[in-house]
Amino acid sequence: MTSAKDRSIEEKKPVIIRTRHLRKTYRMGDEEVHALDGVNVEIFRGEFLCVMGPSGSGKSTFFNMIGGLDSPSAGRVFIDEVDVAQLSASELAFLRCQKIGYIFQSYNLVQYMTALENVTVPMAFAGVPDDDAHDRGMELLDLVNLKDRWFHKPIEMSGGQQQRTAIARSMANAPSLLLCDEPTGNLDFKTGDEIHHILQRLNQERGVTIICATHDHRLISMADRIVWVRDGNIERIAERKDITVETGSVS
Amino acid sequence: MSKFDIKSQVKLPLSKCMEVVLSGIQFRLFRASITMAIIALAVAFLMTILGDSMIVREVAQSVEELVEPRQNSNFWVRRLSRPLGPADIGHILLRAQPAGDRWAEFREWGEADNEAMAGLQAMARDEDLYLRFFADLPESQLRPLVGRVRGRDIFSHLSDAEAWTAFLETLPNLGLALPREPEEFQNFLRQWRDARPLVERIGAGHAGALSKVTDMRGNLTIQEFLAESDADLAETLRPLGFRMRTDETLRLRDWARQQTNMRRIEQTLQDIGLRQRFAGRYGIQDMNRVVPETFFGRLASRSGAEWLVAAMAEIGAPLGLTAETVRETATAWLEEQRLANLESSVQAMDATGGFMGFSTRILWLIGVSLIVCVVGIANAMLMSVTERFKEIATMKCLGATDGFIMTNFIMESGFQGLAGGLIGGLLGLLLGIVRAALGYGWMALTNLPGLDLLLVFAFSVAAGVALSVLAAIYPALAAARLAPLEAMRVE
Ligand SMILES: Nc1ncnc2c1ncn2[C@@H]1O[C@H](COP(=O)(O)OP(=O)(O)O)[C@@H](O)[C@H]1O
Ligand SMILES: [Mg+2]
Repeated sequence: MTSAKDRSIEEKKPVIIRTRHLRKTYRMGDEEVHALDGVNVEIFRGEFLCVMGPSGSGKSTFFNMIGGLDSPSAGRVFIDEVDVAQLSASELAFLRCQKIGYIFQSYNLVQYMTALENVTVPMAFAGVPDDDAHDRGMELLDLVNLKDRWFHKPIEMSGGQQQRTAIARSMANAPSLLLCDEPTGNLDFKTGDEIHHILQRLNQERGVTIICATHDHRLISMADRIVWVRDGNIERIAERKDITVETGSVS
Repeated sequence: MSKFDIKSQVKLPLSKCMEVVLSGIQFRLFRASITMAIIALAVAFLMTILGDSMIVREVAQSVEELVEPRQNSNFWVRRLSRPLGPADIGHILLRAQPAGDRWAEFREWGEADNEAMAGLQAMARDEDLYLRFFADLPESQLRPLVGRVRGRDIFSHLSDAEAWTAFLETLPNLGLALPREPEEFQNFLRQWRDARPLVERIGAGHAGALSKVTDMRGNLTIQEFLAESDADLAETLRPLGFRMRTDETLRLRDWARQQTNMRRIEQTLQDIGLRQRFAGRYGIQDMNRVVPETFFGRLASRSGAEWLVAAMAEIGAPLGLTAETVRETATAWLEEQRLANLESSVQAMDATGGFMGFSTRILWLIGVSLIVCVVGIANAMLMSVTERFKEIATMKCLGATDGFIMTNFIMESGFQGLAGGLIGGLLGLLLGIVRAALGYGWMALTNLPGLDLLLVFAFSVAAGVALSVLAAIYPALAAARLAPLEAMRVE
């Protein structure tokens, strides 16, 4: 399968995220935990990147750094060549609101809002007028097949439906980057598949860069590249086409 | 290569924030209602106390108006039956209108001119000021200052040069300061001494007039004398120096008649036989319970009044009053008693003093209740923040600024304060009215100071909102400082 997308990555490979000696150290009493221990990585615009690694290896910490949610102990993060450390609080809020979409393992929907209201929250923060937000929200819910459930509150929805709502919300302001931290960690096999396919569609049809931390090997078959993390270090980076034969044995 | 065009995050309009806050409160109605209950209690407490005092103040005013005729009559009786001492003269002077009736009386008795009278009145005002100063001092300070003398005698005592020097030396040692400069006090003392002859002349003039009144009334009591007087009384008293207005004359006569009737009915209770009859008729076991209150209480009804007239006739000591008069007199007696009670309770209120007429104890109570309220709200809001860690962090991931989060929590608390304040304010208003009604009866309800109560209500509600906002500042800051990565945490 050599799609137009693959070729464009080969040819130009514009970098959307670059880290330099990224380090995050937590202090636990006398002990120092190096959650990230000097990570250098480049992530390309439009690619689907899978971050694999055992629990506690530093995946979430990595996400927090590249998503502008936390500041590193040392090293730098560039998002589209912008040094995140240089941004003011307000600019960071703008970045999170408009440029990055976040998908959490536990969905994190606002409990007292309907599906549609949840989806339109980032639009409100971006200053989108209510009517436009409503229309766009409905379109996004349609995209994740939840159009006729727009008025449901999170407690009235299954886990898969909640995560689909969360995906619609992450796309609210058409970000160029989606950060998914174990998006199917709380879901069963079949529902997980649905989520995977939505993410794949977003990547292929809309060209959204997707970075996905997961334990789920099925996702590997959808990714362009896979990064293995262990003890705060990148153990290995591979393109999917190089590992397709070993998929069965990697576990 | 396309660059991100990174701008500052837009500021959300307050209306959007309000929408979020209101739906949040609706969702967490139970928690919110607990916070509102705390606020409602504190505001209700504030409102009850403020409202109650407003009502009592209003009642006090109308009580004053109600007792004014009685006081005026008593005032005349006293002046027509007892000599005026320096204290009485001082009191009257304090209230005398220049060129009014009292002023004219004193001028005539004291053979003074208007200028001397004005001086005397000014002196009386100073005298009142210094008398209050000494009256407020405890015995332990008075003793070293002026020895055993008290009241007006202090002024004559201090005329002595030696006593004056000792006084001046002791004053700073006790940490005391006169209400005015010592020189002014010394000045006053001289004026006070100079005014003595005039005050004595007024007293003597009045005494002369008094002896003529005593001659006139023969062996009648002053009340009996007034009861039998007519509209000419004012004319009769005029040559003696008393200035009585014609309307006063008639009012005084009616009042005196009523008082005489009251005394006459009271007298019947002296008769053991009648007491026993009364107790028998109304089933009172304990003879000690046959007191004027119960007696007049029964006589205020037609049957009671008729019974007394008949009973006195049977005993052979006819009362000389019709049953209707007995009933009216008894009713007036009860009313007088009620007013006297109201007056003393209102005076007790006034005497407590303090800020806005509240005692320090009440102020403390208000203060402590408000502090407890603030702590309670702050605690509830902190719990709310802790509970919503994930929600707040998620919001921040979605682009919420710190300002939005702060506004959100402060607004939430403000709304709760408004709702709780309105509920508490109404509750407190109701309680205040009930309390005042229990204490002062119908008078409290007919004298509701509407505008004042409305202002106090608005103030209490505003206090509720202000306290809630104040209490929310710290929790809101804590929420705003929360790192967005908390959203990633999985329980
Ligand atoms: N807030 C924190 N305080 C202390 N240690 C932390 C904190 N967050 C993560 N860690 C530690 O950092 C390491 C990496 O954690 P994390 O990034 O959550 O791993 P993963 O997401 O791959 O499971 C772990 O050892 C974890 O215990
Ligand atoms: Mg993790």
